[in-house]
Amino acid sequence: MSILEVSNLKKIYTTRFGANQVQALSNISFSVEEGEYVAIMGESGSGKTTLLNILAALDQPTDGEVILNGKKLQSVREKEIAAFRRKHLGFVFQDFNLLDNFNLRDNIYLPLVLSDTKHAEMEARLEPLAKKLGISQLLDKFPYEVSGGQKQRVAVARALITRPELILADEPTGALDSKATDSLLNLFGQINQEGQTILMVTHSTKAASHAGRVLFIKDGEVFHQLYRGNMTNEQLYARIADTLTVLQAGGEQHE
Amino acid sequence: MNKLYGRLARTNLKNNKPLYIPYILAGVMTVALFYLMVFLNNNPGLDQMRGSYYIETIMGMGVYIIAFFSLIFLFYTNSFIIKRRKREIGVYNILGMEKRHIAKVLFIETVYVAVLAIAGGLLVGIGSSKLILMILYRLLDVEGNVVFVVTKAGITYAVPYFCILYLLTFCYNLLQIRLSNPIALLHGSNVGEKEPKTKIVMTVLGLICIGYAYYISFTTENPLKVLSLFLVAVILVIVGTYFLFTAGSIALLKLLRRDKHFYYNKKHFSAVSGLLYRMKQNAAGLASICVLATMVLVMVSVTVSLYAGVDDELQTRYPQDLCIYLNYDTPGMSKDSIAQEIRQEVEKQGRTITKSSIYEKVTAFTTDDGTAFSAVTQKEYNGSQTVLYLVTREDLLQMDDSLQAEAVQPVKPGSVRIYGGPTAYKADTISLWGNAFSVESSEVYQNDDDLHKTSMLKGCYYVMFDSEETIKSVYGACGEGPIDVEGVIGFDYDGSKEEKIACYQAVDSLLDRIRASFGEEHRIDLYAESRAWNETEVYALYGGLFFLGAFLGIMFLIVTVMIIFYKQISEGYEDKERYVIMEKVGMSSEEVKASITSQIRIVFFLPLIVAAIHELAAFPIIRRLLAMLNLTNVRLYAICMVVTFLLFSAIYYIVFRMTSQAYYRIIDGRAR
Repeated sequence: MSILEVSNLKKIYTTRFGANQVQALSNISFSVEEGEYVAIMGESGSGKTTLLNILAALDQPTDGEVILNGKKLQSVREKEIAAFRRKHLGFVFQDFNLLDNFNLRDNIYLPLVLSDTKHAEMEARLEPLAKKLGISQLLDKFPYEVSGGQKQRVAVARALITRPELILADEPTGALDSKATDSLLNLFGQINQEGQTILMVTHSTKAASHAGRVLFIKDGEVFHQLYRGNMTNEQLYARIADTLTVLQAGGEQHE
Repeated sequence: MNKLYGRLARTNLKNNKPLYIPYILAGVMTVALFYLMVFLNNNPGLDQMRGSYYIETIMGMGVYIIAFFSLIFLFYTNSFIIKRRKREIGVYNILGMEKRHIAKVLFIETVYVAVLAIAGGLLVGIGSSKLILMILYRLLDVEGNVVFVVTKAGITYAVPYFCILYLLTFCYNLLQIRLSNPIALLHGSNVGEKEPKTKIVMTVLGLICIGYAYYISFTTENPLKVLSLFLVAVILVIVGTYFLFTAGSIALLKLLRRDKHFYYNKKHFSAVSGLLYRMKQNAAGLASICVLATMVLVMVSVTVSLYAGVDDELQTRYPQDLCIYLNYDTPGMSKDSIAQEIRQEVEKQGRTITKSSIYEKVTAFTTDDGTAFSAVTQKEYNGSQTVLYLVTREDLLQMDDSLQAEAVQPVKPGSVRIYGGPTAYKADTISLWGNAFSVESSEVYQNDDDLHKTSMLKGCYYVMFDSEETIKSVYGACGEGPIDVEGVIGFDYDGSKEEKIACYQAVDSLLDRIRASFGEEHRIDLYAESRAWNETEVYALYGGLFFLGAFLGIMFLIVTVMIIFYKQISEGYEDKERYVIMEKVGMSSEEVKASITSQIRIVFFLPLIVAAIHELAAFPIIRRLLAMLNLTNVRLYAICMVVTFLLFSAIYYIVFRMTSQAYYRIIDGRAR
């Protein structure tokens, strides 16, 4: 059963006074099955961020629709949108987006507090999660006291604690060194194994090579997609690299 | 090249308009107030007035206070602005400007600001000086032609002083830039602060300071101590407020955070942690606002009530138009014959006497155990002393014409009647210096003058005897010392103020002649007091105080408003990022707005509430201070206090509304 269905998505930005129109997404359709781990790749300006913003219900498409778990995203009312996002989606960002005024524990609790969860329930959810992510010892520290990799694990914990149907990750390894990147990608693989659906937008071939499927976006359209099949991470890495070369060379030829 | 720097400086000021306009305006106001103070201190018209000494002293004090506060205040605002601008300066640095080039631009900027503020301030000051002088004349009840003059001293003091101040702010900014590298400058405006530590000792100290200050206010009765302890209490309150806001607030917030059910609640979660996170830098600002607000409230309400009650105070201090006091050290001097001479003189001056009184007052300062009274060696107002007036029935009736003759029954030899307060005399007998009398009756009785005295003493009683001889035998037993025997001759008469003064002067020279007639070898204690003559000075004193109170009130208010404004703005920028994150994580914009509002409310109204509590706690001691200044009308002070508080709150609220709008604008300008 597909958990996310995106059909004929189109987004046109109009500059002020309508003088200029920029087409960010021209026609995007794809679907994500439950338990899948999908990476979306594309260059800067290919429309990745716009797509992610629409999927996150932070932005409205000009045309087309997004269906999350059977519910049309565009039909959710403005007032309920924040609660909807909290309940169904988890976010992991490039720059972690942790709040300096909360310790790590409270950062993780934040979405639960916003949805009025009981304190006992919050504790019960956090304990196994923190153990799994290896951050149990850090919970009383503040974001400025821990490393980037640790921050990103906390951000993952914050995304997972609401038990969302879909995790949206925006360049999660963008600000990490290679060791922290490896360990985060392994973590993503592990939680995906446990059944968590993940949609990751990334530049990094390495990050994408951990996914089950890779979508390539160019000029606002899905250009190509790769399935892992029986490939190892290394084999998938090579295929992605090849595809990117074609993608880039092809792009140059058009001009 | 130099032109370029000038243009850059102008562009910078223009781009930072929202920060610089309030800064310059506040500078204008400060310079104007400073000029006006110096102007009043050196005004030739005021010089000719009687009591101008008071005005000059008061305004001279005002000059220093304003000079001091403008120093603190300009530095405070400037540091806010430079902190906000560090990023911009870092960009210049990275783009290739050397620090000395940046210094040059900053210098030109400072010159612009200083010129605008000083020139503007002098213009406003000079422009409004005539109006201010007219208001002052009105307050002091002075008839006089107000001529427009420019005080040279005002300009020659203000220009160099404020130039130095602005130069110092420039040096401070230079130091800030010198000390940092470009990367630090780039991040300068948003350095994460570490979570503050709980300081239990400081919290407790703060509580003790404030508690002790309140204790002083409630318990101090000795008037000599009131004055000195009042200053102690003020300092304690200031210190305690700073401690409580810096340490106490953090302790409280941490306590709230420890309560899981309270803390992990949508309504409190981000407010508590947000406050806690920023308390370290916030607390000093909040405490300053609180202290300034308290100062404004107390100062304005005290000076307003003193001025509003000036007629009462005159009446208390000078119960009759003309009072002549004489001591009985000189043989052959009789109050009746002197009264006769004065009466003739007053009538010769063309005044019609409407009321006259003549009595003898034997005043004794005593300590007592409830029934036995003995003289104290020192004559001073003291909370453990009781003052006794030994009088006859005739004396008492003369002293206070509001007493009905039937209400004061004669008394038998060997007994006394006691009138006084604050509570009626309770026992059946009284022992005076070892002489026992039985008490026939006792009643609560206080006239205005006693009200003023009982505020400083344990009690104040009129002991009424059957005859002057009995009184003499009573105080004769005591011998020399703390007993005053004084004859008082009082007259009320018609006439204008000038006529009354002329009459007083005639009587005064008559008293000179009487003194001379007794010869050199006798020390004659004989003097006259005129209400009309002293009225000018009393008006000068209280009017001057009122004026100073209003001036400093305005000054403090400006400072308070500025602190609030810059605090809001700089917090807006800091909070912006936090709220962007919160929205990404799943907070709706309504929730964001609600959380902002609750946080701002706490930050805003906390200082006002604490200031109100301080003011209320100061009520008892200020009541006593006012009593020493002859203001016994407690209701008047209470009314002034409430009105001042309401007015201040209204202004405060308007500022709150305006600055929170600026704050929302910053937050709302956030990018998605």
